[in-house]
Order: sequence, then C-alpha cells, then structure tokens
Amino acid sequence: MQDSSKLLNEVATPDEEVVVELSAQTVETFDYYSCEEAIKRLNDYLDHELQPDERSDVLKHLQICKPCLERFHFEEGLLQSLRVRVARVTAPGHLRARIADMFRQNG
Amino acid sequence: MTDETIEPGGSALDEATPSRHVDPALFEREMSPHLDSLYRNALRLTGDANDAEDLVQETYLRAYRFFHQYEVGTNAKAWLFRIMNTVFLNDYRKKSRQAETISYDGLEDFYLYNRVAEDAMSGEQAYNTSNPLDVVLEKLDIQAIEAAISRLPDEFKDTVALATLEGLAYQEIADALRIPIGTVRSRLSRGRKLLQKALWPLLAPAASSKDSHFENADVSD
Repeated sequence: MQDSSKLLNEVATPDEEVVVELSAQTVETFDYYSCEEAIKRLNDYLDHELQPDERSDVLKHLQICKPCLERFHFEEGLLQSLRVRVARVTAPGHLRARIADMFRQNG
Repeated sequence: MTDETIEPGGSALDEATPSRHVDPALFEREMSPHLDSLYRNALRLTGDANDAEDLVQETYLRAYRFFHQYEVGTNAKAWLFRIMNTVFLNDYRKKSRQAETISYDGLEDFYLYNRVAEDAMSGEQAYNTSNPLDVVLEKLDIQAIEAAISRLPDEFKDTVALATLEGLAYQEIADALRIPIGTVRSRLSRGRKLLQKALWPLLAPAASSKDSHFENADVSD
C-alpha cells in the first residue's frame, strides 16, 4: 500500500525530505471520575477522533459530572452551529462551471 | 517544477503530461466534491473573492497536472488542501509576519462558557436567556468568528480553521499542513483557547449595559 504522505510530498515540493510520522494508536481507558482526564480529551471528543473505548469513558464521566456535561454540551453546540453556518457559503456557480470546463477541454 | 506558470489555455498541462491521459470523469468524481470547502478556505486565506477564485482554479490545475501521482480512493480532500496550502504559501502569502507575541500562560479551558456563566450568576448582565450557548449564538455571527480565527497567530490559524470550520480529520490536517499529528493536537488545543479569549470581548458590547439589552434584541436566524 502506497504511503500517501509520500505522494503529497512529491506533488507539492519534490525536493523535500519525506517525513512520515507514525502515531501510536493506543486505546486507553481512564479513570472516568477524573474531570482532568475527560477535559484532556475535549477536542478529540468534539472532532470525533477518539477511539470507541475512550469516547465511552468520556461519556461515562459526563453522566456523573454535571459541570463537565454543561461545558462539553456548550462546546459541542457551538461547534455544530458554526459548521452549519459555515456550510451555507458555497463556491459561486460561475467558478464551478469554469472549473468543469477547464477539464472537459483538456480531457 | 512548482514555479511553472500555469497558462489558462492549458499548454502547461499538455507539456507536463504528454503520455498520461487523465480521465476527466474520474478526476471530477474524485475532486469536485471538495470545491465548496476549498473555496471557503481560499476566501479565508486570501480575504478576497477574486483572489479566492484564482487560488481555487490554480489548485485544481495543479491537481490535474499531478493527478497521476494521486492514488484513487485515498484522501482527496487532504491532498487538495495540501496543494492549495502550498500554492498559497508560494504565491500569495504576505511577506510580513505577525510581530505580536502571545503569552501562553494561563490558557483556560471553557473560557467562553465560564465568562458567560459568571456574568449571568453575578447579575452583572441581563441576558435574554439562561443558556450560555444561546447567549453566544445570539451575539456572535459567523463573520465575527471567522474574523477572530484569521486574527489568530500564524501558528494556530490554519489548524483551528481546518478543524473547526471545515471539519478536516486530524490526520488530514497533518497531511495538508505537513506537520506531525501531535502538533495538530497541541496547536488546536491552544488555538481554540486563544480563540475563545478573543471572542469574549466581542460579546461585551452587546452585553455591556442593561439599557442596551433592548436595542440588541433583534432576533436573527
């Protein structure tokens, strides 16, 4: 299987060294009584980057901790609302058409 | 190779790929779903609709030229964002960097929530609603938030925008910006905290006095 980050390097800057980072994906579970442990995972939680076990532990914490629940819900609500509003901006029709034409000509 | 000028007539394309035929239908299928997201990103980067359109066009041209290097079925979105970022850095970015230094001490979690909740409890502000989320959404429009993101230090701006506004996965952001995924996480964490700190004063004028509470009672959305 080809290394996609290597391909990206070739497209953008052929002369640059390829740096490939392998992130260790360990599934941890944590003491779900701990606010600190849950808050550490706030962004990963919001962006759906958590492994299922970790997500489940965050949810367990939110079940037993009202202050965290309120704050996590606030962050979630804010992010969702943002993304809905952002998605209303779309590429103008003439740009879409121009790009489609560009490739039909050269195809 | 990256410094070639791109002719709208397509001569650069012909030069670059004499014996490789790109199936336009395949290209369109893989690449066009990301047009809106790329366009918004281009607007954010260039701050100008015309420049944004040029940047999008140049990005797709370059993607077309190098399409043979793209593995069909892998992450087209990250690939396109990567190209756009490279094109932008080469062609558009202003030479002056931000001189401002930011203190990273005391970056609080849930800054916005805490300020709004404090205000509500202290009786300082007469909010229309007791829900902090509603307070924030009423007072902050999307333009204000996007502007605040674009004012973040260079280090955080792209990461915060790509994650928060365009919903790219962390690995996609890492690929697009050519940084390690750990760096994505740490920039996002600090960047979002800085963003909330920057948004709080924008709420203040609307919440500044009990009298103006009626002036600002317009209901939108």
